[in-house]
Amino acid sequence: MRLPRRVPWRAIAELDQVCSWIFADENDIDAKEQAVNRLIAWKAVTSLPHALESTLMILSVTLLDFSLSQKSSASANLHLRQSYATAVIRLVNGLVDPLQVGAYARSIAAIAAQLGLPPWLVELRHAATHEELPSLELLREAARESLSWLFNHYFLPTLNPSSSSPSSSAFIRPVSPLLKRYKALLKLTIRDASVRNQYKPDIEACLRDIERWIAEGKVAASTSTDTLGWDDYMSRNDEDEDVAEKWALDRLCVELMERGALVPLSKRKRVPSTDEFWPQKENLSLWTPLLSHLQTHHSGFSSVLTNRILSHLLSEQAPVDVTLDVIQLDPEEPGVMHMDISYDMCLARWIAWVVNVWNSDREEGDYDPRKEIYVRLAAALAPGNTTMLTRRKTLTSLLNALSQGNAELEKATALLIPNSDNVKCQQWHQDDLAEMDKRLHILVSCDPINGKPDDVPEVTVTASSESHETSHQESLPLGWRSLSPSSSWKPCPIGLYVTGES
Amino acid sequence: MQGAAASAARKSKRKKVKHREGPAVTRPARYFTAEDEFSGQKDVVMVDVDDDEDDEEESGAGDEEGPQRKRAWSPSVPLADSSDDDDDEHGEDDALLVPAANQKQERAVLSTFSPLAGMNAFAITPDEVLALRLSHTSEGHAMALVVEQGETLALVGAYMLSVIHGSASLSGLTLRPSHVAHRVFAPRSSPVPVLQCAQASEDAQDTTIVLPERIRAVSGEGTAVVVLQRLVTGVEHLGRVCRVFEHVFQPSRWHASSSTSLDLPGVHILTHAFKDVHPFVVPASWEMALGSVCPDPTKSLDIASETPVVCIVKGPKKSGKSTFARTLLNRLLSTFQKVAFLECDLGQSEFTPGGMVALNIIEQPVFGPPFTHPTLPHLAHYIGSTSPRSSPSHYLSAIRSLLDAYRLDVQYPLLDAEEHDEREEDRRIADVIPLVVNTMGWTKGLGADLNVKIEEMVEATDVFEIEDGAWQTVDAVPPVSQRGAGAEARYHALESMSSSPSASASAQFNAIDQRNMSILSYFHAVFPLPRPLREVSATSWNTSLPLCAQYPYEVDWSVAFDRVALVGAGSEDVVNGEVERVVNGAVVGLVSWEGEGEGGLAHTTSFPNRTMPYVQGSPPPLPTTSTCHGLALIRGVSPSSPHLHVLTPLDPSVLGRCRVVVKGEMEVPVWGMLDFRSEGGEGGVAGYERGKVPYLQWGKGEGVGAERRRVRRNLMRKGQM
Repeated sequence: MRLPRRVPWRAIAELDQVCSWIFADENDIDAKEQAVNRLIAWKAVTSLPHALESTLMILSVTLLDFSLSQKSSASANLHLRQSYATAVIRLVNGLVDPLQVGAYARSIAAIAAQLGLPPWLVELRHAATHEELPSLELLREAARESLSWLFNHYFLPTLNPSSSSPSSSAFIRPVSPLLKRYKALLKLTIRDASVRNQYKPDIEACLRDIERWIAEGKVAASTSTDTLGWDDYMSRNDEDEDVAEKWALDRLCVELMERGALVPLSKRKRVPSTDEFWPQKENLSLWTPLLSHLQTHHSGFSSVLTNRILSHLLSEQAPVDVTLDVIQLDPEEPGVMHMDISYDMCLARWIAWVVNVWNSDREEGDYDPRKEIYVRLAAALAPGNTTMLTRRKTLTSLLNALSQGNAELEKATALLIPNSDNVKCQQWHQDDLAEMDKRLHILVSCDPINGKPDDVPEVTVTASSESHETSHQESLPLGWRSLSPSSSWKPCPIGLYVTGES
Repeated sequence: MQGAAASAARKSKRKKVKHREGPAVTRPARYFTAEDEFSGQKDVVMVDVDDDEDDEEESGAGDEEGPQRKRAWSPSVPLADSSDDDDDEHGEDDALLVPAANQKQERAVLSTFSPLAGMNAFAITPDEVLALRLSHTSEGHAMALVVEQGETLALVGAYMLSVIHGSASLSGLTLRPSHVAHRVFAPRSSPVPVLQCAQASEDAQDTTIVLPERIRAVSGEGTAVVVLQRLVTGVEHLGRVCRVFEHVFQPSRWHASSSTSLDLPGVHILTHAFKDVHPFVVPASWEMALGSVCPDPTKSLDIASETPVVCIVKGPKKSGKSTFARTLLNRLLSTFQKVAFLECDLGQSEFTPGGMVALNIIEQPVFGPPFTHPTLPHLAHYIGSTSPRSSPSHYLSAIRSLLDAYRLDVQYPLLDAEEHDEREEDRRIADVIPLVVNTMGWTKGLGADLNVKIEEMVEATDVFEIEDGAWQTVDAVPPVSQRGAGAEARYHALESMSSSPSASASAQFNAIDQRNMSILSYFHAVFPLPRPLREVSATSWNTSLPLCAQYPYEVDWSVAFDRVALVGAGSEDVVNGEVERVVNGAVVGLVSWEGEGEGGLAHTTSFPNRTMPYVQGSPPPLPTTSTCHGLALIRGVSPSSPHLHVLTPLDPSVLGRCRVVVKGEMEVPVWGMLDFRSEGGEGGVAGYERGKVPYLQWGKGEGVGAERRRVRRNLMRKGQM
């Protein structure tokens, strides 16, 4: 369940009013004072969005500047410069800090550029923090510029959600060059173990670059309006930040699933040598360092990856070739792949690997995806479901791999994928119904979602609130009155006032 | 094994008496079963656990430690994954996020007791319950269980527990036969208390209760007989209000295979530990410290009454500080009729909702997390924030005034005759009330300074410090008790409860959830009538209606209130015209303020008609002349008349004294503004569609900077790894 956000205004129209107080007439000082008073009151109600808090700070300095200029007191200029500088520093820091989302710091200028913040405000922030306090003239200009930036980037999109946000054209550079570099480096060290130490710093740098790419993707996701409706993976209590991170990871997974990445270009290399339902050994040693790194830094990575692969495997249409997006990570092995089962199979093996490997040393409290994946597969493979004929073999192998070693799931698999000799039995027996019930029970009990019905002991506590109230009605102090069902008061949201006449 | 290694690694340079884990064999009598009892338990350990273990990758390696490895669960070692039994119980995970029964994972056995009707479990009739003369009886549903030495029983749910034969231990407390029915709240969101049969005491002073014949037949030496009764309070339904805590009073669906039912509604036996459910384990160092400060209740009563015990509990966040303070309180309550509890932790208060420092009087041991025992304080001061960060001196003077009040009125109480009669049977000490002070977990920077000052004011006889193994710099600073203030104080160093830092990252019930839950629990609670120097804990929860649908009080503020005060950083800038807007929907402290003179309320200020009695920038009421009786939620402000609609669980007899309203930074949780009756809270509120609900916005806000400011934590710079 997604909780609503607590906002200081009763309705968005109140924000509109504040906006018009500030921006309607630049010379209307009284209106600006009203706006400041209202913003201060809101701040005492609940914590303000950063954009509003910055607006408040800049406005109040502007007002101070104005009132001082009326009195022509020249001595206060240093105070003014300090106040202006603080307001600008806090504006920039407050906008940039939430977007420092990766494990590695990015430059403020880079983030500001993504936000569309004027670069000279970032320079001013730096100067005001570490160098000489900038001149009053420059600071006044910065305050004006900041307010207009806030108007365009906060007030307008908030008040008119339909109007296109100026930052909707958020851009992320492609990640495939990074993956390509990673792959090349890893190949070198795998072929020749003696150079492992030599290339270690390069590989680490490459991993850090991929981390930075994810951080950029998160910023792009949080500023781009395209992602507003993006909540496929939303589960309860997820923060917006997680949405952005998952979005970025999802983009990365799409790239990883391209032929030449997790799935080798050569079909020959996709076939593993062992019986185990895992990716091929060389392929494993190639990608494990990256995948493990991602999993350590982003606990949600495994679920994004398995979800992404699973939705590919379960997609309705037959596996078509996506020549358009194929990235040629391995130029010496060109070749456009036609619809191939080995590609699906290889991806399925990766799921099995992810589930089995990252499940055994899983962080405490993380959610075990095995059953959920199992249920999704089982639904697709359920008898009577004909849509999955093309991938039946792949899915069945994955199902078997997942249920291995898990008695409960093995039992269910045996039922789902009947051996051929079971099918012969066509004669209806009296105890068949009982058998079917039993099977249904086994299958149902594997479903983590609809597993055990909650038998809440329905104890309705009628804590006799009414009798409690009436008995004390007469003992209430002066000025206090108990509203009872006989009054005209009716339940309403907190914050509304419904008169309670008796 | 793990714990021993860890404690060896944490070798400290300080020359202090440390209650560290020694070899298991030399340890004195302890709460949980000692070594040998476990060997007896071995044949009860579930067979399939052994099988599972063999599947583990390390199965070949551990031959030399064979017998030990067979132990599914050792009391002396913090469970491998018990990392999050941390203090404020915010370490647990939610059912939905918890892995299903992972077959390869070792699952500790929690309950070796398995109920067999007529053998060790008996349904007892209402008449038999009456004959036991228990302090509380519930209608119908009651069971007697005969627990033998070495058996453990972990129950999830809510129940009343009475020990009627032998002695039993629960949550670090040994209960002897008595007529008292203890209220036990054991949600999954906190470590689950484990009931055990305790060592029989040689003393014959115990109350003897006549058992029903069929039970007496099976209860011999070395067994404990407990009576479980159904406890109906409505607390379970707080999970409907704050759905993070939904169904925490029953095993989650993943545990279906690990819980057996008891023939008592609302109580479930938990047979195995899970990643999200841990037993309540008292670390060995805690046990020694508790033993040294709380004398055996059966002996040496005189000594205890001569030196009034004043304890202070210190430690960083998530170290188990609150849990220790609660256990210490419970221990003292087996010797004393009443114990005073001074809460200095504004964010994670034990008995009151956050935001206030409070002095509570407690008479019966508390079993359960804070939200299950909201209690009206004897005296309290409203700080209005979950941290003293913005008003450190007000915070300190509030604590000072509570300490003065304790020394003046509470430490040596005057017993009134009525109360004396009521407690004829109670053998506990009545003429002294010891004090437990719980400090805040903010132990660095300004927080450390504040804690030092508090410790100086408290002048404790016993200082308990929980050490954070990870934070080594503490060794550089000598403990305060060495620096003079409490020179005579006994210093007890304790191990921290949390062992894995990763636990808090995945915590489903975090500090904010716990705080929200305790505010919501407070506003839904039904309190008994307050009586001086008595415990006033909530008896039930009115959860049939959400807050938005509960009938409020209508208050004419021009008559009822003398002053509206705002506290918190920046509140001094709020102008008069905006006050009504600020208090709408606010959580406020209801404060009585005495004294007209200096620091008191100057009635000379006259307020123009129809404006709230608010003076911009006026300080909050002085702690020396005021007291906060409780909280109220101003759920509506009339736009046209001097009226407020107010929700408060306080008794009307108290409301007349509350002439001052203080609004701080506390807010009502968003959960409390929703209506759980409409699609589980996802529809509108009280019949109003989403767009018409004030102060709430569904969906993501657009525009840059629409998020609240987030504080950046440590980032790695380029090249760091």
